[in-house]
Amino acid sequence: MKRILAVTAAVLAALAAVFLLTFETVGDHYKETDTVISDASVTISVSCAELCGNGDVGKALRDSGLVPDDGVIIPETQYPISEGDTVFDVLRAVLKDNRIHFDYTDISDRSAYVKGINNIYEYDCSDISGWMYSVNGIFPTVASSEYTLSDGDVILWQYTCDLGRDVGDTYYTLHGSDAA
Amino acid sequence: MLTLNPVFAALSLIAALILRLIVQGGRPQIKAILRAALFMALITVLNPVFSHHGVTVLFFLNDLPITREAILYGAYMSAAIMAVVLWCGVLSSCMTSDKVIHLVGRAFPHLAVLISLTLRFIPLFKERFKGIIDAQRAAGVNDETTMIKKLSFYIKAFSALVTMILEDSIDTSDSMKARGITLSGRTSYSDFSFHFDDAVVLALVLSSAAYLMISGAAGFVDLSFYPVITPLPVSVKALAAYAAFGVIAFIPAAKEVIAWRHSRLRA
Repeated sequence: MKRILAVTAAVLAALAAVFLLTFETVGDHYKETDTVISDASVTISVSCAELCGNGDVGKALRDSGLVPDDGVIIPETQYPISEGDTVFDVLRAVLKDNRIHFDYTDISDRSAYVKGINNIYEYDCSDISGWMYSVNGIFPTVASSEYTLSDGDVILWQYTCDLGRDVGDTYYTLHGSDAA
Repeated sequence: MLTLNPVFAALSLIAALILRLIVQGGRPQIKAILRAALFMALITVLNPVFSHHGVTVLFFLNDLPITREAILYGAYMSAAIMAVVLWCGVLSSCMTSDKVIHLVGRAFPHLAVLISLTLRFIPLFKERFKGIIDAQRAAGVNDETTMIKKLSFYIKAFSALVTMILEDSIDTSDSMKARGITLSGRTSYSDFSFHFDDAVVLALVLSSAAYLMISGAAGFVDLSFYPVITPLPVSVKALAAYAAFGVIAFIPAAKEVIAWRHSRLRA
């Protein structure tokens, strides 16, 4: 009885591993993909300029050599989009094209959460630090994978050390930190 | 203060393992060591699945990077956890209740009695529980054919155990009262005295601990795994810190070895 249970569990685990896990070598992962031909495009840039000062803020990260001098991880880039592409899709594609480390939590493609870009992670700077995005200067209150893009949108991903207050988001300035 | 230096974890693990082999014997430990190794391997494999931090990407799993840093951090963490588990095992087999009472009895008499009672009761209950089940099985009243019947058998045995414990504790408290636990001016018996060699060991441990605290605060032994593994500190100051930690970690094992050698010479 016990042996049957153990064998069944092992078989199920193996099946789950085969169907749920996909292995890719580094070369395969960063393989050149065909460029999408599309009328619509957006502009995207990724920046961690908040970490570039001379103060204590971000010092550990600067010492580890991950912060570019000007804080620009991805300069302003035109990127073609197809129907239904979200901010998250574009970010993932751009980072993949540039072979930059990217870590996120993906809850069945519904509301993804960006944890780390270029090995700069949430909480690395303080308890209220992490990655935020804005589209056309406005900080949406939905997950990046729920924001569908339209032609000409300007996406800016920024690393904040202060709940977005230092990168121009006014949500917590207006509502106070308790609103979290 | 908290360092992630793997040298400390390795020293601690080795010292705990050696001490455990000395204290509890080699043969029956092989299974336990294999189980520990399996547990460590599991943590080492699982950490990179959940942590994608690190600059050295080995391959991608479900679109997320599996990094060398995360694997090594998993290995480090598993060694540290296993060392703690081993030390706790050694502690529970060495730290008898008379030692606890001797150490904290004068400062916190009530707490000491409580701790010593608890330390006594856990193995006692285990023994009693086994006794009840053995008795039921010997009487042939057990029915363990299905999972549910087995469970209900164990629940019944547990309820008998609770009754037994309650009666036991009344006995214990009566006995304690009869021996004058509530009288004032009570002293407790102790088999230990403080000798010159105890002072030497205490001084050694305290000075080593002090140096470790200083080197931890000053960052002589700092090492980080994420995002890049920084080189292992091997300066003279760092080596001295490793030695100080080794002194603390290996004192119990050294004491056992020396004590046994002396007792054999005398015999």
